[in-house]
Amino acid sequence: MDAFLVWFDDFWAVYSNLILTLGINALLALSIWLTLACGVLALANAAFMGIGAYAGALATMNYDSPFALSLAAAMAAPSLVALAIGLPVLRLGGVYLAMATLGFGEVVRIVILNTDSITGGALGLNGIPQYTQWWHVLLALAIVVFVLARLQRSRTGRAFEAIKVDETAASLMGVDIRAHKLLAFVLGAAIAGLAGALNAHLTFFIGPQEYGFDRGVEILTMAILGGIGSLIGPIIGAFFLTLLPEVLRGLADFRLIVNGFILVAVVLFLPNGLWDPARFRHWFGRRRS
Amino acid sequence: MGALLDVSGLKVNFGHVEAVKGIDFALNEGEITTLVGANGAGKSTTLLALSGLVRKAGGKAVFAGHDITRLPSHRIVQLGLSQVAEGRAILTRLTVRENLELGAYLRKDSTAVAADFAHVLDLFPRLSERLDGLAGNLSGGEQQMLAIGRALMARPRVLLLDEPSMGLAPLIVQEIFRILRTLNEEGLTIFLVEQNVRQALRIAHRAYVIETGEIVLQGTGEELLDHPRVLEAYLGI
Repeated sequence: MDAFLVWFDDFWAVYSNLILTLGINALLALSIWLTLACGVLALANAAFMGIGAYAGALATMNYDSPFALSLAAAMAAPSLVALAIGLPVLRLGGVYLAMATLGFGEVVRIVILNTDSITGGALGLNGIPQYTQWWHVLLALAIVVFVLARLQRSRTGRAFEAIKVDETAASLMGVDIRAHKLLAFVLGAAIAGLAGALNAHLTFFIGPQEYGFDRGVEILTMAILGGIGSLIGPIIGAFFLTLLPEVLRGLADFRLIVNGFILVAVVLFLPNGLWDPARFRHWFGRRRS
Repeated sequence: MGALLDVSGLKVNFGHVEAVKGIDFALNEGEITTLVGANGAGKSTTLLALSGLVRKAGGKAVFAGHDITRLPSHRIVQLGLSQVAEGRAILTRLTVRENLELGAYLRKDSTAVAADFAHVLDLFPRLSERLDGLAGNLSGGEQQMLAIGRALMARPRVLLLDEPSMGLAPLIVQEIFRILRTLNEEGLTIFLVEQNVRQALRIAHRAYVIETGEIVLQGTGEELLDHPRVLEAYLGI
């Protein structure tokens, strides 16, 4: 038993950061799942994560606010921003919306860079208290999954589904398209902000570069790779994409190449994502009969 | 007697093109009214504008005393104007049952919804055989029936239909028109937009002919069936 505890302490000392990152990335993937669930391709989640991270970290550092309050601020700030930009931006569709939200992400990054007195500019924020414990992340993930699962089965969830499949049909059934898209956008922003603050209070340091284009694409990839048909998909995608580079560490210089190949293979052979119950049934159903 | 839906001077523009150039028409309660015309005459555009899916450039639409000219589409549905869109707009990745249930999205009276559900299945017995199958696997005719059934689930006061005969076999077309007649006899007001001029005029109480965005003829269905201009242009006699 003692031997196990010693082993576990070692293990946790080395890997705790990675394990908590798994949870945080899962939250991020779920945040974009929400908009994807109603057919909206918005790529502002990295920016919302950044707004949440800065709001939370600044609340903790400048106002000594309790952790719970910092997290609340980290969810409120991006939600308000999402509400303000959502109304004009969500009128756009398809790639145009993706472009507009990417543009918004750049604006956020530049604003953070140029408000040195508050955000520390390019140097970022240093010395953020490390409040995030494993159970914070676990609890946040559990609550978000629970809320989203309830939402998915509610009237609102069915309206999302209808909008995703056919907007015209949905509005002819009396679904208020704009209100539902805005709801998904704002809720997604809140989740991304929560993930940002949990991450900020884990990593000690945050800088504007962390919330740019790369992160936005990474969040989208996690959700799509895992599969957006259900809530499990984005979580699996986040785990996969976070763990893969670590598992492949032994390959040294070839790591990123193999990483890329595996992603391409997944997309080619599992077009609906890693989590695709219909395909599983197809594969295993055959063998049984 | 005032009309249930009164449209005056309705104009719709697509960029510089005037698709609908200020048309007037009215729907009387309990009647089938049809708007017929060739491809590109502005029929579908008129319907889309009525449901608020396309912006109206001018004119006014009054439905049961409410000015619906500037209302968003979900509010118009709420007032009781349900449209079966062209191309059926079925949610193909959902089941037949889910499609029908979504039709009642705005309603909260679950017992009445259940009754309407049963009624729709009575009207379209084929649908009840395939309730839990994906809507995308239905045949064209069945999808049209599902689209009509879904619109009925909203318990509308007026049912708007955009070319329900499109792409269907003649036998199926007849079946669908028979059902429309039944629905009308049950008291439903119907506005039918059609290219299948003969079929539409046969069941219509009132009819309008639209050409390049303007109403060129109007009368009862029977009158127009015998009108020389209709005979020549649309029925090929």
